[in-house]
This record gives sequence, structure tokens and C-alpha cells, in this order.
Amino acid sequence: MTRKYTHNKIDEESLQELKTAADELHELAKELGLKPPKVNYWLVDYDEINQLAAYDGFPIRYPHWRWGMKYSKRNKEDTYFGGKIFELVNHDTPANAFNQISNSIDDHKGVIAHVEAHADFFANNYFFEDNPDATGMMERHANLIQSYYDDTDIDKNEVEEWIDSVLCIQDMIDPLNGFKDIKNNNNTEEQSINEVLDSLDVSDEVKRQLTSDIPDEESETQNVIYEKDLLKFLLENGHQYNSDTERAEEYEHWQKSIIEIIRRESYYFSAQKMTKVMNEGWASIWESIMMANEAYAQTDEIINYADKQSAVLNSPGFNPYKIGKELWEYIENKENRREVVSKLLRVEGITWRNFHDKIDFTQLNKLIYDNHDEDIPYERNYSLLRNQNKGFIKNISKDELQKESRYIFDKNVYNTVEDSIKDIDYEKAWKKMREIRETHNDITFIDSFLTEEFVQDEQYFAYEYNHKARQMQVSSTSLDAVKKKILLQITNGGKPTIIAADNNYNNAGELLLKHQYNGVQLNISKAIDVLKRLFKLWGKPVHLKTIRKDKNTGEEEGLLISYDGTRTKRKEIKIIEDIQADQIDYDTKPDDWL
Amino acid sequence: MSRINRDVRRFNQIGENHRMDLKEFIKHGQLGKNIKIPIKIIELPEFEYDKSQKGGIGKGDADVGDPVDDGGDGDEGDGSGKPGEDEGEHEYYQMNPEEFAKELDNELGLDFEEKGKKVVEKIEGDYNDTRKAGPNSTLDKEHLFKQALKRHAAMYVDTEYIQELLKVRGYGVEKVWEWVRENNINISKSNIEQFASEITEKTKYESIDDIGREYKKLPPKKSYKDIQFRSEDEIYRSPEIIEKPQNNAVVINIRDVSGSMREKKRELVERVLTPMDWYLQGKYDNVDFVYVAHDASAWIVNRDEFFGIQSGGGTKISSAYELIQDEILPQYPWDSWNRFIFAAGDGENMAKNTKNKLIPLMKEIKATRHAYVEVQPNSKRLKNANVGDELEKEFHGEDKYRIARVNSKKDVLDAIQKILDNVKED
Repeated sequence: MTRKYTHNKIDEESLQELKTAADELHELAKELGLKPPKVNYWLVDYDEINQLAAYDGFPIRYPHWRWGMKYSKRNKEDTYFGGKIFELVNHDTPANAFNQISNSIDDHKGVIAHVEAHADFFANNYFFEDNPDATGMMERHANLIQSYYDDTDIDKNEVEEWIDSVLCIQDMIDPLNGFKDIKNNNNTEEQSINEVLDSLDVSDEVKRQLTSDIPDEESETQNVIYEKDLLKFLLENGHQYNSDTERAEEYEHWQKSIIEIIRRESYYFSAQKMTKVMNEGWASIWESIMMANEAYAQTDEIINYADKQSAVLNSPGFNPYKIGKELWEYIENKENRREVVSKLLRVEGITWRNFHDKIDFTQLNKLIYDNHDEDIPYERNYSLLRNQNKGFIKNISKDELQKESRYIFDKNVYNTVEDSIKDIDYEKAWKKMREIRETHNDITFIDSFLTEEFVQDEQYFAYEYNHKARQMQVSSTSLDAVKKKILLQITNGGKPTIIAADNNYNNAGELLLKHQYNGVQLNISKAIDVLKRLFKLWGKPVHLKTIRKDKNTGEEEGLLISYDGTRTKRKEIKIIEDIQADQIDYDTKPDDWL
Repeated sequence: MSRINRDVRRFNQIGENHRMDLKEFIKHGQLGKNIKIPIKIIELPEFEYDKSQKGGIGKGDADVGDPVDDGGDGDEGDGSGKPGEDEGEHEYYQMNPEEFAKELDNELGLDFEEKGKKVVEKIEGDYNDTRKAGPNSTLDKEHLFKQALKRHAAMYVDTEYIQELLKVRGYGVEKVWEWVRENNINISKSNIEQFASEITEKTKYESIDDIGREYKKLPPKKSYKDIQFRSEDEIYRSPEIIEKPQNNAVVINIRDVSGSMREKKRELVERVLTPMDWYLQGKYDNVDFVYVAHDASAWIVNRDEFFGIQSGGGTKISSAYELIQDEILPQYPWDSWNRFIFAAGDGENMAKNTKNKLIPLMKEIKATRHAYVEVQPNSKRLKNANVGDELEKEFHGEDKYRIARVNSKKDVLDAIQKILDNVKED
């Protein structure tokens, strides 16, 4: 279907230019300190890229109507709104990037720069599988499921219905723990999630979210089940419901296999989902460094930018691309500033108290400039030399200065500001950023680096629905509230966390799920729809414990929803401690809205 | 392509006698906000948060309590997909207008001075403005009380009398409605219609006096404790903020959408106008964009439509300027708004329209800058395409008027520079 850099619609000269660009940009990325592995670039036409997009970046997926839905929706959007996919990239060995052939040469170059940074991220971030055989896996899964459709002993509709039912819970896996099996297959060095978290400077609240209070091993209670990976739980305990015999029966082999396939693919995609903010931001900043700062772009490229960006500008709400890029830029500036400030505070006579009076910031910027070396990539790209960042050092708060000075024991090292600037490490920020891209995911990234300064400078705010005013209203502009709302968006892919808590509920082999309530209630009618589908996958009655919140009073009450194959039942429950996530409340409504 | 076609075919079949179990999950929604494209979406259920409790984050200078337009995505069956929602897929690059303006300034060496028309005045006025939420001390008690009283009174409408009234010869719904209003009785017309439909003897009484009693005015007084207050009547007064913003600009983009404006020309127009919009957005605190399409007549469109539409009609450029003068500019007074009026077309115009109508209008309409962009792909001049020539002749040497010609992508930057360079005058 695709031809690597050969295509009858592109002339030899342009092709040569692209090949050269791919090689040069790869080298440039390495010069800038990235470590992208080799990427296979493919030139594909309009139809092909839309199919690839429908298949989440792969040439083949198992037969299913929802790819068809995505594809026809995309086609309509393109036809009527002029959208266009410039590129797709997947994490594979090697990574594959698909560029749309009709891109201009300049677009192609920007895309390649972007892709090289993604490839670097895939290969170096802890949460991605090492050396995956992704395309091969997708193809094997497609063939397997096709064979069930082709099998005359199996009802085609049953296969499709079974897939649909599993898809309703496809994201109910445990990316942080479950993926260890997969990761450790290729990795001898075991590192538990807790060790990783301990090495990061994240808050306890987030740690709790990530490790989700796994009950202590010493716990007295017997048979405490806490399983986030519902798909695994089904594979170990589930049954199919036979409507003829009205009994739970063992899964057919194809049923089990479909659950396994969907679960495996969910784990594969989970790394991308949990690093979207970081990964998109990472690709955007390096693209812009390579294209603009390193002057790889041609003059009229700027016009192309505007075409593409106009849509993003108007997109409301949470935009991972935007916040990711802004955060990385902020980290870059902040780390560079820390380095400069830590040197300045070692100058005789300069303390955190008199910092702003003693330092001539225009002169300081000049010194930083005079001292840098154009031949060294991280020096010529030094963020504090960029025009828009010239005031960044000056804007440091007293608090931060004081904090910084606490770690300085060797005061009075330098006689003059000039001497201190000679000692600054211009690579400091980039080193730190490379570390961050290795160890963090979006949750820890947001938790660690979203600061008051950032939220204020970038003017982020949290909003909530005000039932009195019957509209969405700004609920807070505080760091805490903004962080909560972002974490809510990105934790567990923006979906509520629901765990399997019992496989023998009512002592009758029934399934009990518990919603890990965090201040925001479930969409109850959707939850009932899911339970109905889940019944088919469990074979016996299914139950869900959750908490409902009164929209007027804010009062919380426990609710047990049950489905037994014919009827839905709701029951109020008293004790809700076990489903209430400790000290996590993502509701940011001001008290007087109630 | 057969693989995806197989999946598309299956998707189309679902709900049409296949997989009726999914029928309840099918939404026939619309794609897009401005232009509605019907679309079918099948949404498998998932555990998700209650939308009204989830909230979100936004960007902008905001205070607690400010209303937020959350884009209304999803809820109205509006095909929940947003650009770039799918994994690993990048449709758009990022750059904000300020950055863009800066780069374009560097790139082109534009000598563009943005200037404010008025200095900001922020006056906290009287407590005249009302909101649906606020601190208790600002609750509009008078309003709350009045609404409650109204409702209280309404509960005691003498409906029996109204029903009798409908039995008087000549008293139909209209007449009774009139009577009710004259007597300030709080009953809705639909209620009267309801009563009327139930009445059989329409001529029981010859006249209103035959009813034998008067309308019972207010019921015997009850304690005010019975008066019900409702939260929907709570209004909070907040200071009215009178604000005169600075640095306002309105950018009016005009595009010829007549039959001769084929795809190539359309694309060239977009390539010139879009960056200029971006640029100006980065230069002013507050920019409004208005899009006007015209063939022989003109109408206001939104941005999405602006570059997409094509009509078959002829071309009368002056129609756009008339529309601007009559309907748009009154909202943007010259003393507080910078006005940019950019027209683009292929140089064709109806005979004599340029000279007799267009030029006088362009002279009359006050603007920071008037520009005409003439697109002529492949340098193939059309026969009557001489708008650019005529305007150039007329406005030669006048800084306020800029005429640019674009034959290919290469000319785009020059055109932008020509149009935006050196904006200084008021």
C-alpha cells in the first residue's frame, strides 16, 4: 500500500530533497541532544492517510464498524471544513511516520522535525514498550478476528456483538501495573512503579491516584480484591451468559481470544494516552527549535503555519498540544533561570533580599549574550536569549529567590556578576528536560511543573456548571483548582476509575465493581448501559457501588446499581468509605454556588 | 482501500435492520457549528463522568463567576470529535497570533504601529447589572419578592368566572383574552384556549351581567408565610462596569464568491487574508472579524463559510461596501475603532460599478486601511478584470489605499507587506 519514499506523484528532485531533509533533520536532532532511533518515512496519498487515521496509525486493524465510522466522519470533515492530516506516527520498531504526499516541501520538513522528536520520546520515555512489534501485532490480531468471522460454526453477529461489549470497557486496564509484564519481557532491570514515583518529586495526592491505595499486604481482611484491570479479571473469572439455558457458561475460545486481543491493544495505546500532553508539547518545541531557531524553515513557511493554526486558536477548553508546549517552554526558562540565579546568589554582596536592587537586568542579559558561543547548539538556542524571555529572570519572585538561596552554602564565590555569568551551564535546562521526558507521564508532569507563576502568566482558569445560574462559570483561578481540573482530564484518560472488588458477591459468583469516587459523580444512565453489556461478559448479575451527589445541596449518598439480565435495580447504601477516594476532591465549585 | 470500505459498509448497515441492539446508541447529529452536516454516530456506552459535574479548564483573563462558553461540544448530538482528538494524529500546528505577528514583523520588516483609539476607562457604576449568582448581600430582594407575589396572586385567579365568561354570547377566546388583560388578571392565553375547548354551551348568557356575579378579585388575605420564594427568581445585582476598551480593531474581509472565482483563486485569497487576520489579531487587544461574501449582492457570513462558498452569480463589488456602510460599521464607531477593510477578487466587476459606485464608497467609508487584493492565477488576465487598475489609478499615492496583485503563492508575502506596511495614520 505504501512506498517508502517512492511515489509516482512526486518528482525525483523533490524526493531527493526530502531524503536529504530527513537525514539532515535526524542529525540535527542528535546535535541538539535528542536520541531519536531510526524512523521509516512513508509518503501516502489522501485516501491512505485517512484510512491510517481511522486505524489509529496502522495499515491494518481487525474488521470493525467503528473504523468505518471514523473514516466517514473524517471524510466529511475534510470535504466541508477543509481539515487535513499532515502526518501520523506510530510507535514501532522502527517507528513509522506517514506523511501526506500533497504536503508542500516545507510542510514535509516541519513534519519530519516533529516526528523525530516524537520518535525520541517513544524510545526514551519509561512508559512506552521497548522495541514493540506493533504493526505485526495489529496484523496478527486482524487475521485472528477475521478467522472468527470466517468460521462457519460461529455466528458473525455474535462475534461483532462480543467485540462491542468488550469495547465498552476497553480502557479498564491498569497501565501502571499491568504493563509491567509486557515491559519486563524485554527488560531485565525491574523497577516498580513505586520506585519510579519515589524518584520523582510528586505530591502524595498524585501518588495515591497512581497507585490507588492498593490495600496493605498485612491487611487483616481476607479476600480483599482490588483489580483495576477489569479485562484481566474477566479473563480469570468471567463467563458468557447463555440465553437459551439461562446459565453462565465457560467462554468459547474465540470469546476469550477477543478479550485478550482488545486488552493487549489497550495496553499498547495506553502509553500514548498517558503522555499525550508531554509528547505533543515535546514534539512541538523541538520542531520549532529546529525549524525556526535553527533556521531550517524557508521564509514563506510562516504563511503555511498560519493556515494550519487558525483552527487550533479557536478550540476551546483543554488543548494538550498547547498546554504541553507552554509547559515545556516554561520548564526550559525556569531551569535556565535557576541556574543563572544560583550563580548570582554566590556573588559577593548579592542576597535574595537585595537581588532586584543590586542587579542591572539589561546588563545581565548582555553578559549572558556576550558569554555564549554560537557554535554550540544549546548555547545559541539558550532560551533566556530569546526576545520574548528577556524579562524572565527579572520576574522571579522573592519567594523563589529565598527558596533558591536556602540551598546555597558556598556564598561569596564570585567577586562580580560578570565572573558568575562565565560559570553558568547553558545546557542545564535541556539536560533537565531530557530527564523529565524519560521518567514522567502527564499526571506527574502536570503535578510537578504546573506552578502558580505558570497558571497566572498563561491565564488558566477552572470552570464548573453552576446549577443556579444554569451555565458554565469560572470557578477558580487558583493553581490548586486548575491543577485538579487538568488532572481530572488526564487521569485514567479523563474517565472515572472503577475497579473490580468481588468475584463472588452475594456469595453467588456475582460481580461487584466499585467506583473510586473523587468528588465528581458518574453519568448514571451510561453506567447502567455499561452494566447491561457487562452482564454478557460476566454471565451473572453485576453490581456497581458509586456515590451520587445532589446538584443543589452537594450532599453525597451511596448508591448500589445492579443488573440481573432483565432488570436494573438501584439501592441506597449507607457505608461509602470504601468507595470514597481519600482526600481527593476534583470539585472546584465555590461554596456559595450551592 | 477495500479494507476500510468493508468497515464503512458495515457501519452504514448498522441500525438499518442490522444490530438493532445498537439502535439506542445511534445519534444522528450534526457536524460543525456553523454549517451543519448531518452525520450518524454510534457511541458505545462507557463509564464516564456526569457532564454537569466535570467542569474543565479554560484560558483568558477571568474572574470567578464569569460565564464560560464551553463550546457546547458533545451534548447537542454534535458529533463529539474535535480536531486532533485521535491518537498520534496532528492536523494543526501551533502558534499564537502574538508570536505570529512578531515573526511576520521580523520577516517583512513591517513598520506597523498599533495605536489605541481611546484609553481604557473602567468605571464601576451603580448596581444596575444583574447576574444569576453572587454574594448574598447583593441579592435583589425586591425582584425576588415581586416575582413571588406575582405567583402568589396568580394562584388565585378566579378561573370559574373566566369559564363562565366564555359562555357569554360573543365572548370567544380573543375577546376574553382582551378582557383579562384589561382587568390585569394573571392567566395565560393558552389556559383560556384550554377552557374554551371544554365549553359546549357558548351562548348560555346574553351579556356579561347575566353571569350574576362579579369577578372575585383577590382572595381573602393569607399570611405572607404562604408566599413561595423560588431560587429561579434570585438575581444578584452587580456593579455595571462601563468600559471603553483601547486598541480596538475591526477587520472586514470581503470576498468575491461569484462564478469566476474558481478553486485556485479562492486558495490565493485565503493565503493572503488568513495571515493578515492572524497578524492583526496579534497586534490589537480586541479584534473583531467580519466576513462579507458577495456576488451581485452581499451578505455577512462566518469564517468557516467565508472561504468555502461559491455562487453562480455576477459581480457587483459595491454591494459589499453598501452592506458594510449600512449594517456593519455603525457598530464600530470611527472614534473608537481602527477599521481594516480588505476586499479580494479576481478584478472582475459589473460595468461601470467600479467607477460610479465602488470608488465613491471607498472614499466615503472611513478606514485605517482599505485594500484590494486582485488574484490572477497563471497571470491569465480576464477580459474585464480591471478593478485593480482602476483603483490604482484613482488612489495612486494615497497611503490609506493599497492595491496588491497575486498571481501565485510566491506573491503572497509581498502582497501582505504591501497592504500592512507602515500603518500609521488615524
